[in-house]
Amino acid sequence: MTDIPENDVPLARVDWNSPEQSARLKKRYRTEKIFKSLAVLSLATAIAALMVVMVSIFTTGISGFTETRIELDVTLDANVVGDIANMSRPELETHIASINVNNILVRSLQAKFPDVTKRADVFALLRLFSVGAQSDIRKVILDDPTLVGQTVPISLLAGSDVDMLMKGNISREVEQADRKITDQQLAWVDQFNEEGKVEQGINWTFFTSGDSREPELAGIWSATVGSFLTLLVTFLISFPVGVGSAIYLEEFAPKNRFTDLIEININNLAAVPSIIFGLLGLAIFINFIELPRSAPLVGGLTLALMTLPTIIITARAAIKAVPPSIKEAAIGLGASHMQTVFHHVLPLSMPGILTGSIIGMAQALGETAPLLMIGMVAFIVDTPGGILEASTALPVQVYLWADSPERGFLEKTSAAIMVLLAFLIIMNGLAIWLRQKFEKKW
Amino acid sequence: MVNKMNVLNVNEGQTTSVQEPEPKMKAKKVNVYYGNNHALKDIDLNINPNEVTALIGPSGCGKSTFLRCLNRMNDTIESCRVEGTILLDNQNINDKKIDVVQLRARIGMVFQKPNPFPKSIYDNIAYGPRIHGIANNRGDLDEIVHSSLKKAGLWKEVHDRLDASGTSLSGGQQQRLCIARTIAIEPEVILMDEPCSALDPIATAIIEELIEDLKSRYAIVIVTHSMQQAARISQKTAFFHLGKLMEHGDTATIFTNPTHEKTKDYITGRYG
Amino acid sequence: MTRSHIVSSFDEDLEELRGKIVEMANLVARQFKDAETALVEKNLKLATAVRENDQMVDQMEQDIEKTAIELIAIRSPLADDLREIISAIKIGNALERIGDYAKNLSKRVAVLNEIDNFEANNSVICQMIEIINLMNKDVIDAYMNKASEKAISVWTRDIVVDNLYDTLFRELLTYMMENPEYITPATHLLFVAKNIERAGDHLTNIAELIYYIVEGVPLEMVRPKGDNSSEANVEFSG
Repeated sequence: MTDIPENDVPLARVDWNSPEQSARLKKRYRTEKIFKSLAVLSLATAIAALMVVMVSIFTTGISGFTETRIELDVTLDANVVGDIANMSRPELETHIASINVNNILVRSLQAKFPDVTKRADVFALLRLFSVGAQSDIRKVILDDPTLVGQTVPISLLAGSDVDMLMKGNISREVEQADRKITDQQLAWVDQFNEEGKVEQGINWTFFTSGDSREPELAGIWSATVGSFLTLLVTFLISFPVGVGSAIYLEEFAPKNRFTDLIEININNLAAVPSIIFGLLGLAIFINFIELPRSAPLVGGLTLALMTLPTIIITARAAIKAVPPSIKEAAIGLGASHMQTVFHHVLPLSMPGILTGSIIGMAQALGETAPLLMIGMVAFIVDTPGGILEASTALPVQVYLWADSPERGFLEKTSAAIMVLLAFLIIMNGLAIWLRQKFEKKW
Repeated sequence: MVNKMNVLNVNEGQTTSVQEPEPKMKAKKVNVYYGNNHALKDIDLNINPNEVTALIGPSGCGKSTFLRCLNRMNDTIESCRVEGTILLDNQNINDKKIDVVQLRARIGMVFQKPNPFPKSIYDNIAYGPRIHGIANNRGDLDEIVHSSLKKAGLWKEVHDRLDASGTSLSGGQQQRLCIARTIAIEPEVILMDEPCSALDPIATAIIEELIEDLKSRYAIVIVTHSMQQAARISQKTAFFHLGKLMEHGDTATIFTNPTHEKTKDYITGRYG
Repeated sequence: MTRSHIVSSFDEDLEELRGKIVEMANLVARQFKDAETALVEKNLKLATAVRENDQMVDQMEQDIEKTAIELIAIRSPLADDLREIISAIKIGNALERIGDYAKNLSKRVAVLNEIDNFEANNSVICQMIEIINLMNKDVIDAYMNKASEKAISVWTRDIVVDNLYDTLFRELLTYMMENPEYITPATHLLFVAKNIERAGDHLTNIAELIYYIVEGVPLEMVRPKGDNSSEANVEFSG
């Protein structure tokens, strides 16, 4: 028995209705209110900033998905095209590639504007159209060789300046010297426009072609493939290595100073600036191992180094979150440590591990700096066919276009950012979906 | 005093006439250390076949630690060190030659919190037979799953939904599933660590009835905080206090006339 | 001294139960005392009062039983608590029987009163009542103090009552042989003595229960027996 009788402790008397009490109560509610409004304010600021970015990218970029075409009656002169009646398809293709389509275009334009005779004016007229207009004409001939000798209306890709003008990115009010398009060219475009020959359409080229010096011909396909190959390499290396390390560290490694040191270093690695990984990749993979420059293999290896800490940390957290009772149940039934880990712990932590990995992958997808260091920043038009071919990546493409002086690349940059964001959203959505679908309750 | 001595002599003459069976497990001078903490001190305890032995005592007295010594679950705790001899059919389970994986198949364990795997009811029970290669084909496995569920008294409730997740069952059903999972590999001893502490009284009663049934086939050791439960289901009771085995004997005697003062104080709810 | 329970209201309930036992024992002792007075002073009014008071004794027995059952249901007692509560029911039972004997005794006071021709020797009866009331007091002392040795001492003292009964039995038998008219009053007196002797037996039962409460094992010594009246056979001397 205790010496002091517990029942004799005097109760503190509180007058709940006193003015001090109600004042204190009011103060408590006030501080709560202030804290809440501050939180809402900061959240609103963040959302507003995000909205500004999104709206600016969207308004600039949405026009990047469209192109301008001008319809022109083109006379497919048999003398220029040559005799193609009896050619087989492959012969036809090589022949058409060699014909002087420029000549056809110039003659057709002169036919439409008979008063344009000066050489400089003809060039100015020709510049209304993109270099890609020639391929449009070639395609028509290839599709139907019987049209040769006739005059047919063909929808030709307009040049970037006309495109900009039609999208309102070039102002008519500006002095002629300060704009990319002359008064003369303006008049021609207006004439086409009045005849209803100018039209806007979806820019399929953007999704199917590689980079180009001409904004209207530039596309993101090769960059997308490059990014995909890079990420494939990154995933194939960082996922097994990362998950394996996480399992070993969490389940098998003895807890001592050495493993503590490893753990601290992994956490520190996650915070290292990505450009350092780029330098590392440059030094090891390119200069030491002498792998090819600009290749997805090197990019993937470098990004794998960068993603590893993220995957290890999230995988360890997911493994740690598996309830010990499940492990005990398996061990109690006579499962070995290995069986316990691979039959129970790993399947249960897989949703978490996958979520972490996908988020790590998304991070890698958006990474630019390390890729710059290993030379994936080169101007590459061709779509890479393998992981050893030179390639570029989506964020690098954005970086390159943002650097270009042409007015037409501005909208391409934003359009490419939108594509990149779409991929990121899809990947994060996939992560959420996986977690929801495979998460088990216990 | 003289009178009292006389009386005790008369009593002793009567109790020694009962013949004890050969114990299934024998613990001799078991000491357990967690780092520098001496958790169990010189425990000597026999566990008889076809009997329920209840381990009681206040929290932290070492009863769960002792239970986990019996199937070497303490091996999984790095800082834990076990000394002494624990015999299973006269074979020391702490011997280096003993394969711990097989040992745990012979000595099954049921835990405090029902912990079915987040798999189907069927797979929960089939897991043990699968990893130990007990069933040769699908038919044998089906047979084991069905009979285990029947023995655990769960068959009627789940026979039409063996594909349902084990975690979709109620708490009491989950615990019976865990018992079914344990008996699917035909252990010789079943250890239970407070199996009813998370269950309502009805589910508890069903489990107790089940333990009563299982007693005829296995030696059962159960840790419980409920004195009433220990009194209801066990034949032998061991009282642990501060890492020592204070008293061990027939349940009826322990609960009506404990010898040790500490035992009496604990079971009657007095200041310890 | 045993330690108190962590749940202090359990201790309070146990105290209440013990208080009821003591109260009942005291009441029974007073009943015997009053019956004795009624017998000696031929006080019929007091005898009637004793008979009526027996209802109170019965009431108290039921009360003790109810309290004990409630304690078992609510507190789930174990070990010495369990032994004490179960024994309380049995002690109440025994005390009720002792009370019955006091009642029976006072009933016979009326019959004995109507018989004038027999001046009985009441001193042995009084002596017996004194002894059992002393035993009653001591057994309750032993109960309150959980003193098993004192309980044994009460238990062994019953031999005195038995011996007194035996003596009175032989004396009354002699009276009856001398004069058949004495048979009726002597038989009644015999029953009175027998009742007191039975009350003593019940007190020894209570002493045994107290021993069981304290020690946890039944008292299994052979009790010294002094009542040989069942074998008594007084020879007709001529």
